[in-house]
Amino acid sequence: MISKRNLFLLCAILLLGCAERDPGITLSVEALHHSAPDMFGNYTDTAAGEPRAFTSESGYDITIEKGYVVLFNEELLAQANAFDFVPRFFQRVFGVSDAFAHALSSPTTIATPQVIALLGAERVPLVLGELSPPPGVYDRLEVNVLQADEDARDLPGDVPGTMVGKSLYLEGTWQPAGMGGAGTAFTISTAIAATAQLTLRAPGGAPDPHSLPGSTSRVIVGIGYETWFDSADFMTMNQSQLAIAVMGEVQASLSHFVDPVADSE
Amino acid sequence: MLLTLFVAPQASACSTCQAGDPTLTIMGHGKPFEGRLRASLEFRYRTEDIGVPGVSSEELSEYRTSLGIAWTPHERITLGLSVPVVGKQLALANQSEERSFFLGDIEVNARGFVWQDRHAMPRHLLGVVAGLRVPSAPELEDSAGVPLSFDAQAGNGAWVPSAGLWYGYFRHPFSLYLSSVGYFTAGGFGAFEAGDAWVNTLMAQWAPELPVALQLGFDTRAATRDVDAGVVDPDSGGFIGFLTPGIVFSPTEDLLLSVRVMIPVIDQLDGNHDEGVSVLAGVTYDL
Repeated sequence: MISKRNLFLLCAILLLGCAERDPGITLSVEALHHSAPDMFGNYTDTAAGEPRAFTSESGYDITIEKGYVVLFNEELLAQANAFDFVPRFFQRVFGVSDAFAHALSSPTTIATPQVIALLGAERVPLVLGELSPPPGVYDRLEVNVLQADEDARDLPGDVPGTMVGKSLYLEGTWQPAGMGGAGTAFTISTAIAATAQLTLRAPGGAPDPHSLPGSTSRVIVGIGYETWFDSADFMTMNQSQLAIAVMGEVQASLSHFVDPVADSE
Repeated sequence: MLLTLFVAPQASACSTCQAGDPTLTIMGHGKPFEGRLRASLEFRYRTEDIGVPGVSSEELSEYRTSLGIAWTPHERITLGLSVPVVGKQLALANQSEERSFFLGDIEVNARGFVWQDRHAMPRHLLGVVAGLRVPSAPELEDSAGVPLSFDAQAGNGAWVPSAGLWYGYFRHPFSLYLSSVGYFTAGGFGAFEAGDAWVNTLMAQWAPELPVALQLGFDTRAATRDVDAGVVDPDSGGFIGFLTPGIVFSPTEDLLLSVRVMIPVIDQLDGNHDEGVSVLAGVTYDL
């Protein structure tokens, strides 16, 4: 049997011209948003385009009629080990820097800002990009929520002004839980940044450092939007305080999404 | 057989701006007689490492075989054509590997003789050199139709005009050749544009009455950084200097065999970027 390499050499010998690629290690990074699962781990998906309605822990019935959040970049982080000081030492002493600035794509970083539309289809993974990390053991994915720039993918057209310059935009209504009737309209529009380090997990939820190369081919960032208003108090907070509270919950709502039902099938 | 070898790391910038005077093998450094027609074959091997080892590293090996022809239609000008076949192997930190083998970018050159100190047996020659590298190599794709990395391409999709000066000094058995050439890149595959480069060559030759000549050269390249989709590549550009010993052997009057080794001795390349030893071997034959 002729190996790929020998076939390639043969091709070259015949002067046909050749081009080929062995892909090596790749890891797809995707994102989805979801409701809160029930006690059995099942999700109730709201149809695309429908407002998202839920009750916050702070005691408000919330209805989101328009919502966008910007996942600016994602970086796969290696498991810490006792020799991590070595590259830092060389970096400091010899000025050897990482080949890629944080804002640039690298083998372990996706730097294509993506706007996530909250009223889009739930639990449908959206590909953020593909990493090509070196062999190693990785246990976290860092996700940065930052202001959208002009190059952000899926910039919405229905945000007053523009989504550029904003990290989060929400429109909807609130009312005290169980009161019924028409709610009070609110808008949260902010450029506040947030960084979350997501622990990579196994289907059961336990931390699960991923060895690469291995069987893992993708990591999904889950956005559990139903907790976003758990710290928000519409009756006592001003706009700025609300934005800070909600962004804090956005940060906490990001997780390595492992669907226990789907992954057990 | 040389054509079949390829395993190479080369940085994007250097597909445009390799060090060394590309006209030396094809045209020599002396003054040719009018009507001279010279064919040449040059093989070049080089390596390059870019990025942080084990993190974002690229290791490139390049085997380039160039078929050249040079014609002197008038005593004041020599025209050259160089057609390379390029083999590359690019190994990335994620264990992926890209290989290519194809026709590279064709280059045309002209060397003009502007001034000499005396008509017969001149000791000093001064001239100009100009060239144009044509994007003749297509953008190579893998079997899925995805373009290979820029560094694994046989060419770079750019028009690269060049212009410069050269000087020759002859006092048997010694001779000296000096050239200084600027390369200006326009375009490139995708949104990539390699940096411009300024390439200098200083080469001294000692040719006793034997069919062997010894050479010692110093080649430098100073380049601006590459830009990809508007983002400056931090691991490109900078300055590098090579010590270049070589030997030329002439078994018959019309045949020259040469070997040169380019050893990087000054490395001021920007970012995480290293070039290894290059080996050049050439054969020229006056038709």
